[in-house]
Amino acid sequence: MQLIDLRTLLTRLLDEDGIFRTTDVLNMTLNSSYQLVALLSQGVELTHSFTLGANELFRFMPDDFFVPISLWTGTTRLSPVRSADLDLLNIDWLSAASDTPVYYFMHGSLTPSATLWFYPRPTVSTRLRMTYAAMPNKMTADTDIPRLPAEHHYTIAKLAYAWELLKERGFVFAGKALRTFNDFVTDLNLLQQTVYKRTPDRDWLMMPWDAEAVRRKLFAFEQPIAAAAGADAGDLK
Amino acid sequence: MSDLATILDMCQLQLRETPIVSTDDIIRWLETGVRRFCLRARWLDGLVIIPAKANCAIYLLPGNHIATTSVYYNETKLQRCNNVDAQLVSPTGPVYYYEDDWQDEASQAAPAEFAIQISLEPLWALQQMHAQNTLGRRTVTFVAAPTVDGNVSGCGSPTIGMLEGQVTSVDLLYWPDGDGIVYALDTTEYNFLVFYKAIDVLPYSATDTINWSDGFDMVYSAAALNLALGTEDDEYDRYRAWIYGNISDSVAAMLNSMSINRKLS
Repeated sequence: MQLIDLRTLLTRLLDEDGIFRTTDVLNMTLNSSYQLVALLSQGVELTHSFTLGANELFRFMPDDFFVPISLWTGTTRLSPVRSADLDLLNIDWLSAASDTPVYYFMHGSLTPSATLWFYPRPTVSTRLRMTYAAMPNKMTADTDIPRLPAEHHYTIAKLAYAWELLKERGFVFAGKALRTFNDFVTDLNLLQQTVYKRTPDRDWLMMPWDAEAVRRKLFAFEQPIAAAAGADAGDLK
Repeated sequence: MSDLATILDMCQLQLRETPIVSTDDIIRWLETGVRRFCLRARWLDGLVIIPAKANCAIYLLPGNHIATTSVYYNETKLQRCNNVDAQLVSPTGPVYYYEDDWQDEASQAAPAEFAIQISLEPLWALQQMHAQNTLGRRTVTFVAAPTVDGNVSGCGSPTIGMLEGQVTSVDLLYWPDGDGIVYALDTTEYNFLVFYKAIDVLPYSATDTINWSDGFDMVYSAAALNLALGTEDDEYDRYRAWIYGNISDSVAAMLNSMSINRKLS
């Protein structure tokens, strides 16, 4: 669907509820929905090549960078790690001698200075090819099309519809908005499943010996949502 | 990037049917909303270099610090320990660290930034260092204190502070001055490098030119509206407030899940 199609669809949905919005408002809501859907599903994938200079420890990522999916030097794939994993591997990894890069980790996604860090740092300039989940640009022209599978475009409209319903007062609108938002979450999960099927090795490096994952699960501060949910459950009891 | 004005517009559109609220009210709700969302999501990363000062063990962490990911001294990883366990180890230099909240300004154990307010020198590098409020801030204490001052190119013996800026290349921290000129400092040698989870930029006035990632405009405004409508007496508005909270919390939970379960940082 083009932007104009999405806007027409949203206008008709809102018409049923007697709600009118200007084109600018609808475009803004649809764009916000589109970007949030892309972010949470990781459904927008792009490939980008860049050169990591000799001895460079990290490199800045494109403005639309969200999370890395795969990184290659020639036909060799690099492995994602956390900085904490590298600490276990080599406590001096920051100053380690240069070699062929094997591992990488991300820092600062969704900030103005997103970077990918490498270990070991390369001895010579190295060309890298990266596929990454991106934060798409806003749609501006009516003919712009979301970079997501067409069968999932309606998911964007659902979130936008819920958002617009929430601007209205009254229990009916609020109840409808909540049901629509819950529908949206279900659809978003479907899209995410599709994306993960397309690239099933996104999480493939969660090895049994991943002590860092165990450590993170042990620390309550790493699980604020679970902790908060537990507190709520306790309150209800 | 979404700017502050866009998000304020989104909030005002949402609040147009409710009793009038001022822009300042929305700013305060937005500020708290951003804090709450970032605390739940633990997605955004921060990086700061803290110049070491000989014999000084306590240093303030950045104001937007949530949780420390890694700490390095002279490019070597430091080990985290509990406060009560610090007495069990006796290293001769920074090997362990623990975190605490700074609450006792009357004691002799002054954190590092106190020094900068006394001895700020007219060197451009030091002017970039932050002198910040301390009460209620988090501190990091090193066991034991460094024995030498850290190297910061451009000044022989740096006063303690905090270097924040845009990092480029190896061992260098760059930041623009007011005229857009970019300076580079050698910063990691015998200094502390801290990776941490951060809170996003907070709004302080409607005229701020803050830019946030596009992905956050809807969830930040949802988080602000959760607070704004939650103050209403009308039950319908309180219901809407709950839904807005549900939206921002759901997104935070998804990002948090990615952050914990995947090797992203």
